[in-house]
Order: sequence, then structure tokens, then C-alpha cells
Amino acid sequence: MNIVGRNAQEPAARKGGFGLEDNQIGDNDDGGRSVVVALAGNPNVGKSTVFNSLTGLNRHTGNWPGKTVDLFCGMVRFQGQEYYLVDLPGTYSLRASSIEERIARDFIVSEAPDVTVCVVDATNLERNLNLVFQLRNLTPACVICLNFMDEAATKGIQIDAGRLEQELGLPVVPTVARDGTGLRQLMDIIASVARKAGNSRTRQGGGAVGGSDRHCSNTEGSEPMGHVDDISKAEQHIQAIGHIGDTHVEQQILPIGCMGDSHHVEQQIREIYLEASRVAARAVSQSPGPHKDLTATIDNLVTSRKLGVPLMLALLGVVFFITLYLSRYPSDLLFSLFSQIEAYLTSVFTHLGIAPQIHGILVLGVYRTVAWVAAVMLPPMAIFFPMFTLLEDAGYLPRVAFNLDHLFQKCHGHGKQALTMAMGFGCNAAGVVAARIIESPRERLIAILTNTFVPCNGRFPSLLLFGSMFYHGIRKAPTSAAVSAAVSGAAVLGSISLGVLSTFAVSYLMSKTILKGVPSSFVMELPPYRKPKVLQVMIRAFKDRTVFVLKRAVLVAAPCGAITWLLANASFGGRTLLGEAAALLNPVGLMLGLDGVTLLAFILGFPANEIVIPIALMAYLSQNAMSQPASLGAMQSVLFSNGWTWATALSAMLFALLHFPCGTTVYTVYKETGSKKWALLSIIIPLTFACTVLALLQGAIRVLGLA
Amino acid sequence: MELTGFTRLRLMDLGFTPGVLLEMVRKGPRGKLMAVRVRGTVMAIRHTDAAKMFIVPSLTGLPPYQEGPQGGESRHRDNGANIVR
Repeated sequence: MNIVGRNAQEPAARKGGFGLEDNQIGDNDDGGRSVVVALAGNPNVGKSTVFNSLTGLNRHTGNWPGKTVDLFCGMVRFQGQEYYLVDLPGTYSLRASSIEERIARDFIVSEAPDVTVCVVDATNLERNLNLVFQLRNLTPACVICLNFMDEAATKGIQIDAGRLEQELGLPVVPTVARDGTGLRQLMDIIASVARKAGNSRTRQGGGAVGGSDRHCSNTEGSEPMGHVDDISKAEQHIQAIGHIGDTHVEQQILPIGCMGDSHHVEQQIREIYLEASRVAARAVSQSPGPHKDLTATIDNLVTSRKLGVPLMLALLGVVFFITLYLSRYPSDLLFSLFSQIEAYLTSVFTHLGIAPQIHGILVLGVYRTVAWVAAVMLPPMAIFFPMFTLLEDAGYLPRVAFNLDHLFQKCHGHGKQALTMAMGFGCNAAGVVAARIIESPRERLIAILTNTFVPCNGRFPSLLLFGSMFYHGIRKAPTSAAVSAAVSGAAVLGSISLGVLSTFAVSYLMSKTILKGVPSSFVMELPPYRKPKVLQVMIRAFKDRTVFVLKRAVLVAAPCGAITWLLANASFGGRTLLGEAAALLNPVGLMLGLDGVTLLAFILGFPANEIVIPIALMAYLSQNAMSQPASLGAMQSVLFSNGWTWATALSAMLFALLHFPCGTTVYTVYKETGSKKWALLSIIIPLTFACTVLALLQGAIRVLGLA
Repeated sequence: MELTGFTRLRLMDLGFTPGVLLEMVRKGPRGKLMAVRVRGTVMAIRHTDAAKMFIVPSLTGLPPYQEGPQGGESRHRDNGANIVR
């Protein structure tokens, strides 16, 4: 392929490239700008520990314009020079067969970081070398960080770092990232490599384009891994990016490996592994004798046929219980804090003599909704995500997928969908993001689109309310505390099981209809168990997940708050628009066994499931703004006095479980798939399913003459 | 390996190249999944995928490949003939 205008292309790619939230990485001029260091590595090699230990807490999400991904970056100051560390997704390879691999490769190629550090698991050198060789072909400035040296030693593995350096022709730094051993040396090496690379970059600029690889005519599929010189390779990749550009999941449904010359790629893989085992054999020696394998011992228990699943359920149960139990107190605290701020805002508004309508929209509408969403969402997420991330870092989660994959095989899904579901209990938006771990696009989409069937903890309160109303609607007698606790437990358990069943059913239906296809491969590493760095994990979970979700929730909640307030206050012939809309929706609501107000509440509750009940109460009581519901009993009596029966409660419970995902989740689906179509389908599919179930229920109740 | 396309390249990328030594580590629930050690890493693969690999018992004097958790070491090799594009 003839590549024209190369010199113009490269700076363009750099300029349009990586930007941080508030500060842009400097121009390409080498004078005094910060050095960009990319951190690559296989999954489970302690890459994030290396990253966190180097950057400390000084890290944030960098947005890579034009791409649907955020990468983490952090700044390190070392010997008077600034280094921008960019944490690439963990990948086994750079053949771009999964989204994360594509992100990692695209970054290295189009952003051309000054130095690329490849974190390598010393206990598992041979497999890790696959990535090292690919990186070496892609970028000249590579440093190997040989992590887990301590673990290798206990396993009796000795690595001759000098020999490895010789064999690879790249600097190798042995480290133990957990306690910081070797990280200083790593920075030293990075600094010297960056200096060298900085000198040679200006020289390379005018070089002639090397003869292009004969296999690169199809830029999409073939990854030239042969010995082509680096510049021409980089150009092929830039070309490839031009083609792939904004590749979305949808397009990736085509098996990527099939395109291009797969035979050639295979040959490259074989050659790489041949070389890898040769290098590993020379640099690694294994001392004989049995070494204790704690991982195998734990696995005998956790993946055992009898205990595996019960243990998993118990663990998840404990996590939920702690989340629900502990989040109440901070939630109440936040509520009172936010209402104090609201009172203050109101006094400021009156003092300034601002029109009551403006005050209504901004304070009673936007502010109150945002504050509400934050108060109910923040505490459970701040508790759930760190616990979940601890399990993740310890290495437990792949075992869950291992235990449950046979169920997902039946509905043509992916075992790792179990993990996205578990994440969905915390927050569906986070569950959708978690689907990135599924490398095959078809199965990933299934996981994304069905995630809403898992009730997130924002829906637990309404499920509890409807569940206990269902019970009280049937047995009208007052109940003791013990009974109502049991009823709540049953309501949650029942809806979780129902949600899981629906997930399987809809996954199966989708793989037979819109997402047809042979189930693609399921390959998953079962990494050794490792003790997570608790504090680091806590902070990471909070910053990456909690704040991430909350930001999106606030974005969605603000405009919806304004709309809801307007509807509740703009009156039209003596009735508020809210009342009008409810009346309009009433026939549809009745068909589903609900009523117009409830349906409207679900629709207006789009920004966050937590505000569905407050909106319904607001409409029933003809109030002008949402207010905190008093008690479970008070809410129940309001609903019962508005014509609710056990059947309404059951329908509402099913609808709360199965209806469309919240605004934050839909927005996240859009971000993750890059497609409005899938975002729309993420609403339509569950909504259709929910309406079908509800209509059937309604029909059954009528036929049986129950209500 | 009679696997094709994406799956084939993915498995190869993870180290399942022709001639590599595999060690059966454990079986998953209902025998639909297995954990296999390849190049030092334990990988879970589905039985349906594994069935499409050409696996022969290793020549190191261990018992022939057998079903069951203690399976034994085995060697798998590409038969090179049934590659479907």
C-alpha cells in the first residue's frame, strides 16, 4: 500500500490525540514537555499496582477524543521531569481482536508514547513474552517491568534478568510492585530510554518509507508482525485506525480474525511463541521440588461441585446485606445535609428577589432531584464497589464465571456475563461497563442489553415496598415485625431470582433473533489468588466506579428534575400537566395492571430508579415537588387509598424489575457500544418483555377471576 | 485444531499453539468446562472448543489421556487438514 503524506499525518494524529480532562499534553516539541509513558501488560500481572504505586493518588481519567474509552493517567515527577503515565487496558495480545486490545494498540500506534513499559508476570514469563514481542515490533522505546519477583522466588523460579535483557534487546527491571521494590530503578530506566527516544525521534522524521509488507493490503485483519521497520509499520497502523476509526461493537460482530490473511497471522503467532519458549528456556530456571500451591487448594474448595455455588451465593449475600444495611446511615446524613443546603439556596433566592418560577425549576426541580439521586446512590455504591473490587483483585471473580458458565452456554451467552450481572446488583451502568471483559462482541452485547434485569440496589427499596404491599394486599391483617422482615427478604430474593431467570430467557431469545450466531469461544484465565492492596483498591473503586457513575447520574438527573417540576406546576385548565399526562396514560397503565400515575412515575423516574416512588407519591398527593416519603407504612396507605390492590403491587414489582434501564445506564450503553441503535434497543427490549409479562399476568388474573 | 476464525486465533494468541504441552487441571461443573494449564497459566476453556483440538497423550511415559479430573498430561497438535475459512 502506498502511503502518501506520511509526514503530515503523524503530527495530525498526535495533535488530535490524547487529552487530559483539564490539561492537554503539550505539543510534540521536545522542549520541556512531559514524557508520555504507556503502561501495557497482560491481565493479572499487577499492572495497576505498578501504576498506582508510581502515580500515588495523583491520577484521573483521560478522555481520548473520538474513542469511546477513558484511560487512566497520572503524573509522576522524577528528577525534575514530568512523566504522564497512561494505564492501557490489560491485554494478552495486540492483535486487536477485542476492544481493549484495540484501544491498547491504537494508543501505542497513534499517540506514539515516548516510552512503553510492558509489565510482565515473572511467574509466567513465556506466555507474557507474546505481548512483549508484539510491542517490540510496534514501538522502539520499550521497557520490561518484571513483576512478582517475590512470588516467582517462592515458586522456585529464578530469572536471569541480564540474560533476558540480552535475549530481548530491551531493558529489563525486576520489581515487586506490592512493596515498591525496583520501582525507582524502573523510573531510572524509563528516564534514560525517554532521553534516547527523544533524540532519535527528530532523526527518524525524514526517513524513507520502508517497503510495505505484502500482507498489509487488508489493513483491518492482518497484523504485520514480521520484521518490517517500525516507521512503516506505524503508518500501516495509522491507516488501519483510519479505517477502523470509530469501530463499534456492532461492526465487530464479524469475527475479526476471519478477515485478512489469517494464515499469515497464525504463522506469526507460532513464530512468536517459538521464540518465546526459546528465550524463556534460556532466562528462566525452575528449581525442582514441590512448591506449595495455595491457589489449587482454594480452588478445590471454591470450584468444587458441591460447595462452589453455595459459597458464591453466600458471599454475594453478605456483600448485599452489608451494602443495604450500612448505606442507610450515610444516606440519611446526606439527605439532611442536602436539605440544609436547599434551605440556604432558597433564602439566597428570596433575598435576591428572583422569581418563584426560576426558584422552582432550579432549586425544587434541578437541585432537589440531583441531591436526591446523589444521596440515595452514593452510599450504597461507595460500599458495594470497593467490596466487589476486592473480590476482583483477589482473583475470585473468574471462579464465579467458571462455576456458572454451563448455565450461560445453554442460552448462548458467556460465563463472564455472570460477573457483569453481579456488578449490576450494585449499579446497572457499572454492569454495562464491566461487560468489556467479554472479548467476543456478540456475547458482550447480550450482557449489555440484559443487564437491566438484574435489580440494582437503587431498585431494592421499591421492590421491598411493592413486595410487602403484595403481601399486605392479600392478608389484610396487621403483621408482626418478624413477618414483615421475612416478607421483605422474600420479596428481594424472589425478584432477584426472577431477574436472573429473565436474563437467561432474554439472552436466549436474543441469540436466536437479533444476535444470531454461533457462540464464540470462551477462554478465561484463572489467575492465582493474590492478596489485594486494600487501601489502593478502596480508593480505585471509589474514584473509578463510584464517582464515574455518580457523574453520569447527575448529568441525567438535572434536566429530568426540571421537566418533572414543570409538569407538576404548569397547570392546564385547572389540572397540572402531571395530572393530564397521568390521565392520558391511564388506559395503557390499566392494561398493564398499573395505573396512569404509576406508569408516569416510572417514565419520569428515568434519571434514577430511586425517584420513582417519590414521583408517584407527589402525583397522588397533588404536591408540587418531591418530598422524602415518611415511612413504609405511610407510603403503603397512600397507595392503597389510591386504589392499589395486591395485583397492582405485583404488577408494579414486576415492572420495576423488568422495565427499561435508568437514564445513566442507557447513556452508558450508548457510550460503550458507540451506537444509538443499541442504546435504543436497551430500552425497547426490556420494555417489550416487561409489557408482555404484565399483560399476560393481567390476562391470567382476569381469566382466573382473582381480582 | 478444527476451530476457525476468531476462536482459533484467540486460542493461539493465548498460547494454544500446535505442539504445546497441556496439563488438565480440573473439570468444571457438568463437564462442560475445563481448566487447562498452558505455558504456565491456568485457562478455562469450554469442552466444545477443546473437543475440536487434536490432542494426543504426551510421550513422556504418562498414561494415555483419559476423562476425569486426574486426566494426565497431554500434547496437542494441529492436524492442519481441517481448517475451515
